[in-house]
Amino acid sequence: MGTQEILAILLNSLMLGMLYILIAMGLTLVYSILEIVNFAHGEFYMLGGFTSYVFFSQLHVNYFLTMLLAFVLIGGFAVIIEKLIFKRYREQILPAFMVSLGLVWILSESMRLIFGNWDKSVPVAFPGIIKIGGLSFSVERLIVTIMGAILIALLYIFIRFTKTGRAMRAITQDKDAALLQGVNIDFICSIAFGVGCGLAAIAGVLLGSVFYVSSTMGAPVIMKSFIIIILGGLGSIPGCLLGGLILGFIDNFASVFLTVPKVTIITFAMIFVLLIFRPRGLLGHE
Amino acid sequence: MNNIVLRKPFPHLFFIAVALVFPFVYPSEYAKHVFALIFIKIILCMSLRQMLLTGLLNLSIVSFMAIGAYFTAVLGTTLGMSFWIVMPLSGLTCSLIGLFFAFPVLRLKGAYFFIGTICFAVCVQTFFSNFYVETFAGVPGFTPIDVPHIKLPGFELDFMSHLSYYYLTFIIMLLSIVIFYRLENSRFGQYWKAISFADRLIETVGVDLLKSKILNFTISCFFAGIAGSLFAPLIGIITPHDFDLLFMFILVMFIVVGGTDSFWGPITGVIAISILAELLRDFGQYETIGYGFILVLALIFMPKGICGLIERFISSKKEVIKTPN
Repeated sequence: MGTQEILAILLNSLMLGMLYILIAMGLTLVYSILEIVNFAHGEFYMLGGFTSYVFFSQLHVNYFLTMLLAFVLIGGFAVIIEKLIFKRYREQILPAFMVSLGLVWILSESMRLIFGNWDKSVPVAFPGIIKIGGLSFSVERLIVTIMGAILIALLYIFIRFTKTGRAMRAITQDKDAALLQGVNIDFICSIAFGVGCGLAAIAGVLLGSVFYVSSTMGAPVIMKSFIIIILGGLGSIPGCLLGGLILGFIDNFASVFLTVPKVTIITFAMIFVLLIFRPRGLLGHE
Repeated sequence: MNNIVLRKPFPHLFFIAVALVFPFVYPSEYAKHVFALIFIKIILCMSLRQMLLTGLLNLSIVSFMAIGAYFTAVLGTTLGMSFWIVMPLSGLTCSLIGLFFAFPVLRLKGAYFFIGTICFAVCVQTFFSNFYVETFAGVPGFTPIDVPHIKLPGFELDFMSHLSYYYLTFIIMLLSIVIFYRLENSRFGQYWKAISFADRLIETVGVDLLKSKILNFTISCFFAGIAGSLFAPLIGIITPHDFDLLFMFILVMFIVVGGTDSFWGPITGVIAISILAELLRDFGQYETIGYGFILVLALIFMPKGICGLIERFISSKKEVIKTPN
């Protein structure tokens, strides 16, 4: 295997890692603030993919505008779902999980009924390859990777430096104390849910043009994001980054040498071994 | 004496009698097939609910059902063993596998447990689709599967017909319901219910938390294996796709609609939804989305399920009788 192949795999795993992190961070944000596990998170990624199919591929809207549209539309839709359904299940993991199981099938089946069974392809946004020192990279994958990194950084800045972000961190530390300090918990919960799902939708737009768009594209992604947050520890953002990068690299490097089913089994086996020794994940806490 | 039949004999005996007479009153082959499937789903839902007593939603029940089904198919058909030996063996194998799986997974709590069991379910499905394809027949599915038969001197019975299979599944379902009932009202049942409220507290009064959870887990795995073992000859072909997350989600919907708090909830849920689904057969392509809506609406509007509604109705009537003014 030459340098070219190794670098291509590296870029690929970095790209997938970044997008998995983007999705998993939304999931972990929802978990730490609403204290629910949203199994329907991958379906928001799927909805993002369909947004890019409708707006970018059919209506020829600008690529970056499509991303913004996906964030606003799907994020807004997520806020409505939070207000209607998840609001009553805050801190109740079991019923919230069951509701999200129902949502998975409602969302994916409605998209299947509207758009049909077949995979939709979204045209490549940035065709061509770029050559750096004799090595060639696909422009699109580079841009997707960079966009992923930028969004992760933006989310980090949002949580770290804005007033809303501070309120979010306050809620994760102590809900009652945050309430006493005048934090509007309902508002923060909606924002967290909307932002988390909106980020998943953007990931859907980014990956929709790299792969394809279908109503079942959410299922594998939600499993991967769960693996990431288990690896890193639920509710831990650094853990999420670490888990995403580990999974991205394992996925890509193992796929080169082994078949996909073997990779799946190895990944899950790894999770079990980890859970035996560290039930809270690599960087998780109580 | 905490006996299921002796304490309140009439409603149970009435339903058993209805179920026994049903095939003769309504002699449709398809209906018998559907009811045999319903009985299998009841066993699965009961074992799902037994695990839920401890507050844990075990999403790997379908994988244990898959293990039971493939075990029956391979041992019964490929190796030609008798169904009556293979069925208990597949239950025992499932509880053995469950025991190994239980040690890591039962140390997890809440969300981690759900995800851990989903991971196991995906692993099992991947295993049966891609590994040892010459034994398990991979994605196209294992077929044909030998039906159980009894061969005694002077007496021979083949469970080929839907009628005989209806009674076979019915009897095994009744046995499992009795066992589940006795277990829930035993000392262990009390432990399990207590675990869902305060697992740290129960350790301080001298209950081995992990041991009682493992007991619960292996028992529910055993019955999932039995259900899978009954499922395989009834359908005649088993594919990894039969045991996917959609089926798991449908089982969860059954127990939610029936009511997770009540012992009879899973039975009510399975029968109500399955009959509804048969009546709405013409809208087959909306089946999954309909199940999704049923689950979400049931959780929002009747979190205690149908059994919760019935109990509330009965208790409100009793209050009216007690206070006539």
